[in-house]
Amino acid sequence: MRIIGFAGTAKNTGKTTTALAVLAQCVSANLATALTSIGFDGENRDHVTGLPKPRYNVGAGALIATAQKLLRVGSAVVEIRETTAIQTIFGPIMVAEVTKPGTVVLAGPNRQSDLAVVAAIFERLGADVTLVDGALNRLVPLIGTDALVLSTGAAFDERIPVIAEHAAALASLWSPHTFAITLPASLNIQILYSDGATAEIPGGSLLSESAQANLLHSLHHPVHRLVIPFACHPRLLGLILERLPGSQLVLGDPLKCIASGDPLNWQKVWQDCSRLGVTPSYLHSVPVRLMTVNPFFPRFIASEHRYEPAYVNSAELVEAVQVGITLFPVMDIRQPPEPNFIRLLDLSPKEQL
Amino acid sequence: MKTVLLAPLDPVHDNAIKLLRRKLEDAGYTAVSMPPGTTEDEVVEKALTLHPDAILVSRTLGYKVAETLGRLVDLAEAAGLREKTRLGVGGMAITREVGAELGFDATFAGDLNMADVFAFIEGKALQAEASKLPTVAREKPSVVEGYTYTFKDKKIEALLDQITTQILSFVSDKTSDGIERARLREEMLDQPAGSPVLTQLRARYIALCDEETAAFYNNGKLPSGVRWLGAEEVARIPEVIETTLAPHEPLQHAGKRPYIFVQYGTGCPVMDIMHIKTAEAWGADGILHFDPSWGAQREGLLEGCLTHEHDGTILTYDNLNLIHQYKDPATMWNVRGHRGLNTAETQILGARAGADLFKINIPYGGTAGGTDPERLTVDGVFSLRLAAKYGLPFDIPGNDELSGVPPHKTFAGILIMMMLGLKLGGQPIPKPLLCYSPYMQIYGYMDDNMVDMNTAKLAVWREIVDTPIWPGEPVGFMTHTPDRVQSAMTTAAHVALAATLGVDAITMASSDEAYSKGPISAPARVDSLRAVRDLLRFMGSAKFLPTPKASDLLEQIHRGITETLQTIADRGDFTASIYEGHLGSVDDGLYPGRTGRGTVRTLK
Repeated sequence: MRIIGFAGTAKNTGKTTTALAVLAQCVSANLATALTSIGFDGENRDHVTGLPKPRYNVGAGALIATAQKLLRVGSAVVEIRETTAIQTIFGPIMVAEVTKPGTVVLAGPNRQSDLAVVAAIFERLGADVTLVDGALNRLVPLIGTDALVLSTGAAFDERIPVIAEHAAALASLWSPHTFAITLPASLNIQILYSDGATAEIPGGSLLSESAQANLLHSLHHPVHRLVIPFACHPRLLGLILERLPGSQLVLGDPLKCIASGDPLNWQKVWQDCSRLGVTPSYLHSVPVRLMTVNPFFPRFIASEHRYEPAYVNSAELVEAVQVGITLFPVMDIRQPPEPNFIRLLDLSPKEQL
Repeated sequence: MKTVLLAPLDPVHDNAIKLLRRKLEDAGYTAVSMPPGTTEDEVVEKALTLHPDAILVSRTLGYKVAETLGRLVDLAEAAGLREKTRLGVGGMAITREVGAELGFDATFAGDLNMADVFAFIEGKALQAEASKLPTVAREKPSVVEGYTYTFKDKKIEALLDQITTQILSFVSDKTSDGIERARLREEMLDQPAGSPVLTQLRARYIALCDEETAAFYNNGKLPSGVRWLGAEEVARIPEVIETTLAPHEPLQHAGKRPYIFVQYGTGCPVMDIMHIKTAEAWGADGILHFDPSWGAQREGLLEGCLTHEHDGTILTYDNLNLIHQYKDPATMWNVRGHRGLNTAETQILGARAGADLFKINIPYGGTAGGTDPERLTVDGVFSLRLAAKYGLPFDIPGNDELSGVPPHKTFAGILIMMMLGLKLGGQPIPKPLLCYSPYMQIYGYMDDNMVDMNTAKLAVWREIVDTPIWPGEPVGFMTHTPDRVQSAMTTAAHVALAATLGVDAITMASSDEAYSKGPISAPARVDSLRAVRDLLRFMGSAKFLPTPKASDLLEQIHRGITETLQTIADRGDFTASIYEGHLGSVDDGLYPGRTGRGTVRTLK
C-alpha cells in the first residue's frame, strides 16, 4: 500500500482539491482507496473565512477513517469496519467502508503515531492507496507517508514573487539526502567527535538560545557528526555550524525542519553548510512528488467583515514557482493538460509495472 | 499530581491563563504559566524541560493566528512532545471544528468549564464526550413547589369564593362540542390504530367538528398552507442535534430560580425541535408550545405530523409526541390551550404527550383571545378539572393588558382563575405581564421609569396570596424594536428585575419575536438568552431600588383588584361581567370574543 500525504504552505492552498483529483484517478484506475485527514476536511464552508470548500464525494467501496461523531454528517452511507483507540475532539477514530456514495467529513488521526495505526488498518482491509489530507500548514504527522504532494499559492501570500521565493526555499529542504547509515535510535542530540568520543544532550531539539549555548559548550573539540533528531530552529544553527567545519550535520526530517523554522532561514543554513564544508542529511525523509500551485486567495472585505474569493494570474504563478524548483514538477492542476497522478505518485499496481 | 503548562499565545491578554492557574492550583495541580507574548518555540522549549502532562494555550483567533496555533502543534510533534503531552486550546473564537483542524487534543470554547479542563488533564474523557454530559445531571424542577396558596387578603378570598361558586354553579349543567370532543379524544388515544372502536369514535368526533376540519378527516383535504411533514425531515433530526448542539448551561447566577421559559411555535415541529435544543443549550429551563391562531377558532383538531406556513405549530398528538421525543427530559413543557374552542382537548393531548404544565385563562381567552366568554367559561372549567385530574399545574397569563386593560382588572381575572383551579384541586400559577402596555403609555405610569410599576405588579401578589409568580408572556412586551440588541437588552432588564424580586419562573422572548417577519431565528433566540445570562450575572443577589412611587402604585393596584372583584361579585354572573366589561371594557380596548357564541348546550 502506498500512503500519499497532501500538505500545504497555508490554509486554502489547494490540498483538498489536489487530493480529490488524485482520488478520481485512483478510482478510474480501480485502486482500492482509503481516505483520512490530519485536520478537518469535507465541511461545506471554511471555518475561518466562511467561503465554500471542496467536499469529499466518495464512491462505494472506499475506506475512510474519521471521528465517530462525524460519521453521519455527510450524505454517504458507511459501515463501520473497525473502532480504534485513538481519541479526538469528535470521539474515537473509526475506520468505515462507504456502502452508498456521498459526501464524507474527515477528521482523522492528527499525530504521526496515530496515522501509522490507521494506515496499518487500511492496509489490512485491502487498501492499495491511502490519501492523507493535511491541515493548514501542518506537516509533521505526514512523516509516516510514502510520498508528499505540496501545495502553495496565493492564500499563502498574494504576491507572486513572495510565493515563488518561499516555494523555492521549501523545495531546498529536500536537497539534503537521507543519511546513508542507520543510526541508533535516540531521543537526544548526539555528538560524535573526530577522536571517536561521543556525547549526548537531553531533549533532542534545538529551539532556544539556552539550548544553543548548551550545545556550543559541548562542541569543545573537533566534531565528526552532529545529530539533532527532533525540532531545530535554523536561526540557531549559524553559530553551531561555525564549530563544525568539514563535519556531518544530521537532522530529523525535512518536515520537522519546516515545522521548526521558516524555509528561507533553512536556505541560509544550506549556504553556510556549503561554505563550511558541512554535509547536511536527514535521519528520515519523505520524497515530494509534486507541487501544486493555486491562484485562489480569500480576500477580506473589512467594511463588511467577510471574505470573498479572489485570484492571482495562474500562468504567471506557475511560471514563477517553476523557476526556483528542479527537484519535482510544479503545476496548477486546474489548468490543462490533466496530470497523470498515477504515474507521478507511483501508484500503478505493481503487477502492471 | 500532574503538571500543566499554561501559555498565552497572545501579545497582551493572559487573563484566562491567570484564572486557569489559580483554579488548577486550587485543585492541587502544578500549574506553570508563561507571560503574554510567548512564542510557540518558547512554549515547546519550556515543555521540553518541564515535561508537563498537558499544555493549555489561549489566543483570540484570527486568520493568521490559526496557522500560528497549527505551527505550535506541528512543532510540538517535531520536538517529540505529543506522545506524552496533551495539547488543549481555548479562546473566544475557538470552535471544536477549528480545534480539530489545528490538531489539538481538546478545545475549550465559550465559558470556562473546569470540569472539562480537569477531565482533559487527567485523560479521563475527551472534551467532546465530557461536554455532552452536564456537569450536574439536570432534574426537572417544579414551579409550584413550596407554596400553600393561603390567602393573606381575606376580603379578596371571600369575594373570589362568591364569584367562583356562581361560576361552578353556572357550568354544572352545561357542555359544548369542545368538551365532548375532548372526551372522545381521550377514548381514541386508548384505542389501537385501525381498530373498529377507534373508527367509530373518530366518526363521532368528526360529527362535532366544523366543515374544514371534517374535510380533513373525510377527504384528506389539508387546510390552506398545511402539509405533511416529510419522513426525511424527521430522519435528519438526530444527526443535526448530535453534531451541532451543546449541553445545557444554566442561566441563573444566584440561586436556582427563576426558571426561564421560552416560547416556540414556528409552524414546523422540526424547526421547533431545533429551537428547543438551541434554547436548552443556552440555558432555558422550560418551553411553551404555541399553537396557530386559527387553530383556536376551529371546532376540532387535526391528526398526524403536520407543518404549516403560519404562526404557531399545529396541535396534534403526533406533533406533540415528536417534540417531546427530542426535548431534554428535564426541560419543563407547557402546552398552551387557554383561549380557543379546543381548550379542553388540548389538555388531553398535552397530558398524554408528556406535558408538565397547562395554560388556561377564561377572561383573557374570552376577550382578547377571541372566544365567546360563555363558551370558554364552560370549556375552561372542564379544562381545569382535567388539569387537576392529570396533576398538572396550570398558568394564567395576563396578556389582556396588551389590549389596554389596567393591571388591577387583569389581576382580578387571574385571581378568579386561581380560585376556580384551587376549588377543583388544581395548582394555579399567576402570570402578571411585565410590559409597556397601552394603559401605561396612555396614563404615563412608566414615563419616568419601568421599575416602579413592574415592582408593584409583582409585589401585590405577595400581599394577597402565598403563590408562585411567573411573569410573562413574554416579559418586556411592547418594549422591543426591530433592533435585536435593544430587544435583548430590554428583555434582560425585565428578567433581571423580576428575578431580583424573587419570582419563580419567567417567560422571555427571542429578540426578533415581534419583528422576524416569519419564524423567529436561532441567533435571535440566543441573543436574548445570552443577554439574560449576563444581566443575571451582573445583578447576582443585588436588588433594584424603586422610587417611593412604587408603594403608591402597589396600593393602587391592590385596591383596584378588590373593587373589581366586588363589582363582579355584586353582578352575580361571571360571564355577564365579561360581556359588560368588568374585567376590561370597550373603553379599555377590550371586546368580548365572538368565536363559538351560542354553542353552549344545557345538559338534559
